Amino acid sequence: MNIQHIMGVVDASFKARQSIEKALREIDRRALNAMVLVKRHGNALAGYGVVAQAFRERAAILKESAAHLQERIAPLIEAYMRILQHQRFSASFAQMLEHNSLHEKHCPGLINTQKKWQKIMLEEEAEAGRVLEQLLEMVQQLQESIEEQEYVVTNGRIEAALAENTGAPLMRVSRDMGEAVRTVALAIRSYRHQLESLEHESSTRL
Amino acid sequence: MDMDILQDYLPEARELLEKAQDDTLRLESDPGNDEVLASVFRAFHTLKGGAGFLEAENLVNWTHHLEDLLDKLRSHTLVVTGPMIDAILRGLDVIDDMLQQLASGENPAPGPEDLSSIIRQLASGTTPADPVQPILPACAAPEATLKVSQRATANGQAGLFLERADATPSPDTGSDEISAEEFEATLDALYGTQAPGYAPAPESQCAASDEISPEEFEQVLDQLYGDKAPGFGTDTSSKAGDLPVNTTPGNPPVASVEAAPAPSPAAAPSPPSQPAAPTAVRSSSGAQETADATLRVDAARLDAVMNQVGELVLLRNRLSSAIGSLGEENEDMLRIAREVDLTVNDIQSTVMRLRMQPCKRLFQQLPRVVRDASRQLSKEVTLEIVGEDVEIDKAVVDALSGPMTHLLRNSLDHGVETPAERQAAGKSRSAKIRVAAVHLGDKVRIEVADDGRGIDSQFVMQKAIDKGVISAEQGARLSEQEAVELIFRPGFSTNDQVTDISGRGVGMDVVKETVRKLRGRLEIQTRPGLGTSISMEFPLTMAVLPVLYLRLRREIYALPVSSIESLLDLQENRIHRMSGRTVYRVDGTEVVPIVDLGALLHERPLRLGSEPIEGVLTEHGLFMVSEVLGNEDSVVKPIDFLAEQNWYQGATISGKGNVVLILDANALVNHVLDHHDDQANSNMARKGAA
Repeated sequence: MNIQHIMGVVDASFKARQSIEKALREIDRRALNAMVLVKRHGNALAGYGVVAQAFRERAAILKESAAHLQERIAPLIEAYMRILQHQRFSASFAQMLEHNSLHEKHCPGLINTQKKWQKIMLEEEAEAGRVLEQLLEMVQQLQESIEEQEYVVTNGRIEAALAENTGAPLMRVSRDMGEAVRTVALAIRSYRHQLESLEHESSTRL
Repeated sequence: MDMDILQDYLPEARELLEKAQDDTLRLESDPGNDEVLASVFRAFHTLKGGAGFLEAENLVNWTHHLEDLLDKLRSHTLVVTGPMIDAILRGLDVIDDMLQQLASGENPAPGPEDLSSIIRQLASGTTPADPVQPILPACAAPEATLKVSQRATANGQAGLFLERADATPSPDTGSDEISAEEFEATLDALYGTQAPGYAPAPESQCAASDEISPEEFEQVLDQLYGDKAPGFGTDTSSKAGDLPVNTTPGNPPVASVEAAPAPSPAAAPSPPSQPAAPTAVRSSSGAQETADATLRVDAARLDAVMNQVGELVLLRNRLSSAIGSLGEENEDMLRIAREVDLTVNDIQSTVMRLRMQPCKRLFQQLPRVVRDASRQLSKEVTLEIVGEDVEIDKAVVDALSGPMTHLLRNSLDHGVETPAERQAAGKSRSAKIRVAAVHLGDKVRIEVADDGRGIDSQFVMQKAIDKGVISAEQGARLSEQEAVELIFRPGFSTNDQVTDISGRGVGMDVVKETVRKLRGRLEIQTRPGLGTSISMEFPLTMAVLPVLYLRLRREIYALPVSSIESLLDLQENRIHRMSGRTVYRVDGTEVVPIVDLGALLHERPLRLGSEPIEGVLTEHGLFMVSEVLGNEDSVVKPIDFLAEQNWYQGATISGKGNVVLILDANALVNHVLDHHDDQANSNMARKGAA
């Protein structure tokens, strides 16, 4: 692992956050648009109203999950930065030991200190691994939520087909909803790949 | 006057009056229809009976004359003629006035003597010298008058003196002598039915015999019980839906009526040869069932129930909001909240239906309006009425009566051409006016369309400039549609002369204002040479208003969902300046003005890119807001303390218990447009000064 790799993850997190937030706003707007449309048609589109309401509620849950996801990014990056810092320290100790053949005589504690640093690094790597695992679990949950949202969109398409005779453009609304969900799904999938590559990198180092 | 009886009598009398008018118009085109004749007769008979209970002597007398005429028409002693229809219709107008006097607690004044005399002459089988003028009664001045006075005779006893004064003596009426009918009529005018020795004609004819006829027996029963007699029932088997009905040859062919769908007849029509009395008896059980199944309720009580349901809706919103904030932890509470939500929705819907009335009530006056106005204007018109059974809130039906008349009169006066003009334009002689009510989701659309000459937008704009409604600069910036919509501005009229029909410029702006107050939407479409269509859309119910909550910086406002087209993500490259206005290009075809709520309500414009901004597209403009929050069914609370012209429809209480102002989208857009014009003018003035 190197600083470029970690910076790549930071960039990916930022982009994913922006992309997810934008897509979720879009989902919310689509859901509200659908609810306005339903309201304007009275009871004729009551079935679709339930779907639109569910869509919006799920969008709110997704938004909350995405916010939690963001909260877990900072500790992960912090842990990796610390590991990098300690790797540097450890490397400089190793260099010092290589250059001084009498280190065991003059600095008897140096090896102990280096071992101690390495132990700390192992602990920190284990901690970073745990945070990464939690993050991946959250991403997994987010993806499951998106799948549920896709299920709601499917229900919406069915309701739209049933209410086709009302003349309301529900099929278009459902298609828009589906597109907004797909955008979030793509952003999350791309983010997951980034995290998995980090996990892979970390585990080979570890 | 017994107020309890009056309270029961008035609504029933108005219904009878409306039905009688409807039936009389049908008689014009179908004079031999026994069912309709019997129906009109019964209406006058019942009106008279009720008036007798109220001791409204003048109303009793007036309805008696009309009843007498109808009785002779019903028994085919006389045949329906054009002047008779005119007289009956005018007689109905007089009854309407009398009912209004009764409603205000006064005993009705006597009806106009000239009309009374005409009706009596018609009933006696003589043709009045000067028949009834349908629209301009003032023109129907009698050529000869009978002056009756009661004063002491030479021997000191009370005597009745009758004088005839000929304004313009005619060869037929040159004699000083008066006929027996005229004398009878004069006695009737003086004493009504209370004259000493007075007896209705059939009784007097049978006075020599000990046996009484079935008709006499019926009359005795009527006197004893009125319409409360066992077995008495109102025949509801009229067939209004059997129209279209064409005007009778011989009568001025000015207006015909088509109605669809037809109201279902309550009872099968009887053959014309059967006498009227058995028909009434036969239909009585059906009428009794109807009476048992319906209940007349004071509208104020319904309003009170509606208000209480409104409060319940607000409480439901607060409950849902409070439980929603608990999260998914308490599933029982969530389930209860959902059930309460559904139950309140059901209650709301049921109570809403209590206030619904069919558009028939709104439309039934229109055939008369078209008939009278088309006669006066010498135009031929077919009126088509569609959707009489479509139901709408009572408030809309009550408020829209005047505006509908305005719309029809304007259509007849300005839209419809004369038969000769129509023929020259390659159209049929008879114009067509279509009045339709259609359900559109949670709205009802009422449309008045004609196939007349359409509206010339340039002509309208020039008139508006001439009359000072707008300035020439403002006119230059108007689109074609905006120019046409100038007809809804206060004070606008294309007529230079005021007529009975239109020209005062007070009609169309009243229509617009009424529609606005009813939270409706007004739209006009016109095609030169082909016709004009004015459509009004109203919410099904006035009690609950679905709104969209939106945030403007830290404040929350609401916009009625009915005015919202969609929610948009604003894109800077779609914002343009056009004719001094900031507009937004929604798509390839739609460009709408932008309403920056920050600039308007906070006096600080929203800055795209620097703060979150979302767009709410309404029918007239795009509203810039900070965030759209969500929708809710709200109850409008009026805010009377604000100026007459403001930007709010009212206030509501949100689910979180906050008072939220409901924005009036139209008023805001209009303000922005006018403000831009003012700004442009002041900019020009500054440039001029410089």
